[in-house]
Amino acid sequence: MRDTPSIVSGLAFTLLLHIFVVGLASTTTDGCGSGEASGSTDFAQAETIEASLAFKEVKPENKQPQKKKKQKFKPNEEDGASKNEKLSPEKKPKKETVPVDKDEIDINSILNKNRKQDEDLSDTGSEKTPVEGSPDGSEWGTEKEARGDPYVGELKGRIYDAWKVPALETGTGNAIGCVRLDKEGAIVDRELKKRSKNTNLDRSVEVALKDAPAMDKPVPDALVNLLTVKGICFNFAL
Amino acid sequence: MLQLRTLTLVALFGLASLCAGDVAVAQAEDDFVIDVGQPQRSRYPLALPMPVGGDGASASEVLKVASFDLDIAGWFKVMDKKGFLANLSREGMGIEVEAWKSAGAYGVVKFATRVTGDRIAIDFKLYEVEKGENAVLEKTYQGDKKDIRKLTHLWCNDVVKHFTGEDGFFGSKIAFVTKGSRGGNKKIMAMDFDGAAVHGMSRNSSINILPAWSPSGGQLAYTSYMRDNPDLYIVSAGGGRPKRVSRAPGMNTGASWSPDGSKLAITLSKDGNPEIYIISASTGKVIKRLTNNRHIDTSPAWSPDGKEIAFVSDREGGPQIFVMKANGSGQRRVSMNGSYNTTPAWSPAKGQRVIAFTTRDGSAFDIVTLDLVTKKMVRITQNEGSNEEPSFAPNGRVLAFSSARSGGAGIYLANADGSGNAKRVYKGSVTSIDWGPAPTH
Repeated sequence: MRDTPSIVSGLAFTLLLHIFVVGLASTTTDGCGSGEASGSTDFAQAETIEASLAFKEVKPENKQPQKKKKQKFKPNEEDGASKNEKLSPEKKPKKETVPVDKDEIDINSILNKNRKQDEDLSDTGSEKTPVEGSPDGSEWGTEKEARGDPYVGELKGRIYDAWKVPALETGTGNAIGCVRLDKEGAIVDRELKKRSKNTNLDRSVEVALKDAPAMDKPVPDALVNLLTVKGICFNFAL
Repeated sequence: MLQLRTLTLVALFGLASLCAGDVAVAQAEDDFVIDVGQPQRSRYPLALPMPVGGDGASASEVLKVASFDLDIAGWFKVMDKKGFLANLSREGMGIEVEAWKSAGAYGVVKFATRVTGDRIAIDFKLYEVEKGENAVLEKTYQGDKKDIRKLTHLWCNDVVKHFTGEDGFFGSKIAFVTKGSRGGNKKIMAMDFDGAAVHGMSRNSSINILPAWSPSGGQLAYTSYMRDNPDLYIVSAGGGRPKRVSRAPGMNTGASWSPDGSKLAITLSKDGNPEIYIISASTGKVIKRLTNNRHIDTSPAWSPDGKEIAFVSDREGGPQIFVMKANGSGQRRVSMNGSYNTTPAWSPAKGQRVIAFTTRDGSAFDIVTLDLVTKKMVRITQNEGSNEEPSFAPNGRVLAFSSARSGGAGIYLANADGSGNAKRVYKGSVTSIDWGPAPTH
């Protein structure tokens, strides 16, 4: 058994090492599989479009107060529960606690502590209500590809209609192409953000982004920032 | 020591967790990109600009032949020159990539002809615009000036090979039967698959029908009444005196070569009614009788792998398509639609078991294909007059057939998948079409 100062110094060392590791990892994040990131930075923000689609700013006061339903208790006879109120419940045997060696770190206690924090976060987390265009349930539905917004779905359809890959191309690959619209709904900027290494696929995406016709309607206010400033990206896969 | 080990493990665990977190973020970012779905398929837009300068007449001929070849191949959409934006004089044999991208081209073929006396040299370059300004295929062909079409076919075969890995069929030949100048007689004819170089193969004034190219393309078998009985003859593709191979009493018709060229499946009626036999291609000696019944069995067609033979039989009423093993066993009906199905032809496409045949549709005849594995039928012609006697291109991607339609009678070529419009390559009333093998270079 070690004395208290050595335990304290050990824990302090642990803390310092943790800080070091976290710092090291955060500076090497790019080396941890960030994948290809070719293309210009013009569309650098474009990949996160759905975040803005899904969680548009909504004030929490819009949320209606929710009543909690009390769950009725139903004894399960199959489990051996009895309906006889006079019977006293059997005493449960006390769980034997396993003594922890103080030299070792109790992983379970750390995990449980973190779990508790996670649960706390979820309890006090976002109060935002799903709104139009949200992928998590709204009057526009939850269609993943369209991210729930009919305007984006229409844009996708126009690009899909313009996307034609030569039949002689039997290879695979996936490319990412991005577009930016003007407020009237015309595609004014386009980029093959991620090449596939399949030249016919890449060419077909370039042609699709070039040939896709303008939208019939102006960009809705809620999507102006996304579609006219950040841009929106599409995955073309063979 | 134990503590240090534990700390190291925790540190590594932490690093690994962060890396895993990064991967998860990357995946999540991929998820954020909208998936467009599976693409529609199209032809490969290919530009064939006319060269500036040089010998204009020969260049026009090359352009005409190459445009037809690459268009009929089924893979390419030969672009309209009106859409070309490039400065062809400045480009010469090179390309300015952005100009061709703007025009919508995926590929560009550049060529130049050099004529010296009776000789011609044609320089070809193929570009894929996405790969930049360096040619992906570059060849020069030389020969007699009269062979300009043949040289261009060679280049087009190389282009198809480059893109698909398959052998092209440009330069192959089609045999067929036309009415002769004397009343009632019929001639065996042959031509390039694109309708060029039409010439006679039979040199008599009798009735000559049902030509069949040998697997090498070096010989042609056909039935002729030149000695009154419908006997089977074989003639060299280059001409010469035909050899009478089978002269059994009655019919000696509808020969189909075995893939190795050593045998022929043929209809003989020497024993009363038409039955299918295997005979030696060199001696005509009967090797085996494959059918034996009181009904008519005719029009044998040997499968490309040599294991099966398709034929026509009326044993179940009207004429229907049957298939049997090459030894005559396992005879079974495969055409289940319609009351009249005739003239089966196997697709030479590798890995496929597809036959094309003529089916009666009301008062007209149409061409259909039948996949013997999936049972899927594809209609090749519909509401376009009467279409009969299909024969596949050597790669199985195109069908030739005779047609009598409002656009004019003749030999038409159509995609074997039923897509696109048929193109006429020969004008006139014809029967008994047989598409020969791919040319050997």
